[in-house]
Amino acid sequence: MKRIVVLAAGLLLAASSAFAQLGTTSPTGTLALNVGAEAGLVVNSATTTLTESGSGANFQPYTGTTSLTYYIRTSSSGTGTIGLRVSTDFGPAGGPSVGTPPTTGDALTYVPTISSPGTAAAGQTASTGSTLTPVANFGNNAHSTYAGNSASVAWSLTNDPLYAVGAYTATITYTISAT
Amino acid sequence: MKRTLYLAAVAILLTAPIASAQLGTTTGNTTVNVTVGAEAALTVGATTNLTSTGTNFSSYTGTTSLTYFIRTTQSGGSGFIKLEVTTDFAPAGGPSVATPPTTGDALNYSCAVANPGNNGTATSCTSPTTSSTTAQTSVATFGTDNRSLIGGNSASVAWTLTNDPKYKTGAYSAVVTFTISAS
Repeated sequence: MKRIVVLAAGLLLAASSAFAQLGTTSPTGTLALNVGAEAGLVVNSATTTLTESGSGANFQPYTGTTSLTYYIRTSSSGTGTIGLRVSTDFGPAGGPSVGTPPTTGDALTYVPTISSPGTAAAGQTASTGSTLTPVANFGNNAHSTYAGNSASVAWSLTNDPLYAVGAYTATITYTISAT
Repeated sequence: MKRTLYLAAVAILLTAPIASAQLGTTTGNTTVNVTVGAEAALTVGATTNLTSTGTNFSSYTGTTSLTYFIRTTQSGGSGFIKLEVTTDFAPAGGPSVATPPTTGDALNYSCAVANPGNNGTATSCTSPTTSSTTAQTSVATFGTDNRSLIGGNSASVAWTLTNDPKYKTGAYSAVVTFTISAS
């Protein structure tokens, strides 16, 4: 009988020890997060219509503006860029062309503007090549607002009398990157 | 409790890409549209001096140079250049387009118009054409899908003004307005 009592005490001690191994009433945990360089953009103007600028004089350039919203985070030693390319040239044939201008000097040019922390590139001539032409650059530690920051591209297209009367369309692809 | 923490961490990891998607993607497209319409323009030499050379009372002559720009519609389009004497010769006592001092006095002209450099044919005016202060008279006409060079194409109007002895000596000037149109 004495043996039984001793065994019961041993079981009680063991039970208490097992409970301690299952946790406490206020445990703590650690959340690990790596925030990396990142970028995104939204082209607010799904379609940008170019119309003849100015009044009075004919054959003024066709102009229009594309609105963008960008999101960016660069690292402390990183950079960022926004670039564009004409991914589909004007069509149908007979009108303006970025890839093969019908007259030397015909061009689709643009002047970008961008809010801080971006720095707008100088005015550029758009290209159909695989290389992006610059819209804006970002330095290290650049951060947009959560709602994004604004940018725009003001277009100007030569109004060459050679263009046949009609409607023409091209596609512009914008790319943003951050390191 | 640990299970709860694990679930929270997983939930955060799943939420991160969703938030990123809401903030845009790394590429975006826009379509650029342009509608090219029929259009025309011209430039004109500011002053044309008419002079008389050779025998006395030979007509006063001179040439006005134009540069025209035109684009007409591909189907059914047309265009024209016309002129009108919008301000008659002045001061009084000299030539007059509206009221010639002598019957037969006139300001006539002939036209030379180069074809549109990129497509089409220009048809010059009938020579000679008598100018008017009350109506536009033709310089050239253009047909369908006519397109000039971006630097323009040339045209000229060669003037001939009667040298009527009745004109008082003096300097006279008139204003001629050229109009170009395309459809």
